Amino acid sequence: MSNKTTSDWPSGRDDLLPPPSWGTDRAGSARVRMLWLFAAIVAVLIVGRLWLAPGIRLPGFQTWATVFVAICVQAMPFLVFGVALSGAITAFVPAGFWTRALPRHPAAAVPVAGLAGAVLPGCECASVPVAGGLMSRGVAPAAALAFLLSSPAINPIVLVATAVAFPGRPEMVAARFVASLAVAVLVGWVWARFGRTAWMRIPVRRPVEPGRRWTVFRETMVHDLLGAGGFLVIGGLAAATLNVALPAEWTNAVADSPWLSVLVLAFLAVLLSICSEADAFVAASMSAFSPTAQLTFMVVGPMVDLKLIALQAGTFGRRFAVRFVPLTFVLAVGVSVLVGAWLL
Amino acid sequence: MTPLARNLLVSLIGGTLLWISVFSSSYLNYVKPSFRFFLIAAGLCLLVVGVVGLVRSWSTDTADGGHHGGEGNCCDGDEHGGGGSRVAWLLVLPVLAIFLVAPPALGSFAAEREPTPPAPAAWEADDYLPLVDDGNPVPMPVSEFVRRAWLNKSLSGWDVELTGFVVPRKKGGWYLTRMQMNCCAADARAWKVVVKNVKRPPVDTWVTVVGSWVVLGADERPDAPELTVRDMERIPAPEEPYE
Repeated sequence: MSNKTTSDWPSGRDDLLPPPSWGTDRAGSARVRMLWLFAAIVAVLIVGRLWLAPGIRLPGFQTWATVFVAICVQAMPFLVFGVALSGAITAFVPAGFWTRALPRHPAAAVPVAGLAGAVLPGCECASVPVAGGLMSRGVAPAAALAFLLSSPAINPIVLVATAVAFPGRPEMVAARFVASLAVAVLVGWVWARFGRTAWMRIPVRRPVEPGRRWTVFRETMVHDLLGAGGFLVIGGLAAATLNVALPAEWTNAVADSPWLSVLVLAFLAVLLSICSEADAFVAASMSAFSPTAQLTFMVVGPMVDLKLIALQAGTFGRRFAVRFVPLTFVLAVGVSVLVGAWLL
Repeated sequence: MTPLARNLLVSLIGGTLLWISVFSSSYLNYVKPSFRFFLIAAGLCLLVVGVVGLVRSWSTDTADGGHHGGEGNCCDGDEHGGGGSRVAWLLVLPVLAIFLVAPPALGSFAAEREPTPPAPAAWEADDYLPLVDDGNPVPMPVSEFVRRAWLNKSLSGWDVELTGFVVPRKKGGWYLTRMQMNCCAADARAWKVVVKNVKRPPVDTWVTVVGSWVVLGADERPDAPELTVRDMERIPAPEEPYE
């Protein structure tokens, strides 16, 4: 509005309508404003980097900022990989492929999709947009959700990381694989049986004309990245705040009680939001806790955590998240305790 | 969010990733050195996607008189509920934090909050070979010193050289500290060594010390192993602040 004045109004006429030039020019001036806004942001960044940042002496705030930026920087390449994959699924994989590749009945497709998660290396930030892309391509939501839960938990990179973190204890790797796959398949089956379409906002993708594949790929990627990325930032803010505000001694005080320790590590996995490639090292470092509690930490973490909850709510809607997150959490804790009693 | 704003935002994020990984070394404050390749790849990818989108949206916008035609119509189906596109502006926050706060590597504030990592399990003892004598103090990561000390493994009689920053200690002396990350700074652990025989330098100063391990009696169990410092030198903060 700033560059428009009433001087455009034709003088001397009692006309209540603005002149025609106001409407036609609006898109152009909005573009110019947007360019100025970004130029201003870049200028503020450069000036701030030179004069503001060197003067900040607030250890608590700086620590918080370091953790927040670290979470975002760490997750960004995985997120980019995930949205590129989801863009490629949308643009280059023929629409009928998934319905042919997976069993028609959701109950049969769920375990297949769960096992498919073991092949694809990706972290939880990548799996949400990929699952969204699969659903928009006609994969049953229950099967896509089983894939969403299993792929960050049991892919080869995570299993190798777990083996490295717990050397000499291969049963830990086996327990993690079995428990995570079981939770993914159980959640998928529960969703196939009781889930309602109305609870979920499945990303809509129009059919792709052959000549526009690269454009569709690029647009899908930008769209998914911005949607998921915004929620990743919310999760990062929450996790960084807890990381800096939560007294570390609290966690060690409860390690002695077996039941409490399982629950505490389960909630800690939700709050800390550590990526699944790294959580085994963190779990291994908490050697005061029982192996079952450590297993719970590694099963819950890749499936339910703050940044994932935010990502899922952003991708599939809030009505979905309030049902899916508690279901996954309860099943993950329950299955971990059973598998822990059996294998560990 | 207009296609123009979307593509500008994507370019800004891509540029920021390249700034911290290529044009400065500040990524080392947040993630492991080996992660650089992924940051560069992701940054380039976003910059290319953003700039191509900018060029495309600019030309289509001009061509058909301001209506965004070709661009941005792929997915308006899910723009309606949930404010899914407005939340994307939050992605400016980490960019602002990187430039305006320029968060440093974790220092004494974080280290004071972290408990000492627990003693390693017995099977780890085999990982530590006897030290080799070349007449000089043995340079060693702080984490290795602490582990060897807890395992009571091959430290007695040796001079070691450790590098870390200064953290105050309530029970006398100070800690020589080094942070170690598994994945990123959010999961960093603090490896601490107690120094008692030298006056504490200012908090967060980086120092290199040469000294020897204080052998403990069987019933002593302090919160961190202790070092008798023979020689101390202040150094600028190292390029790679984490172990």
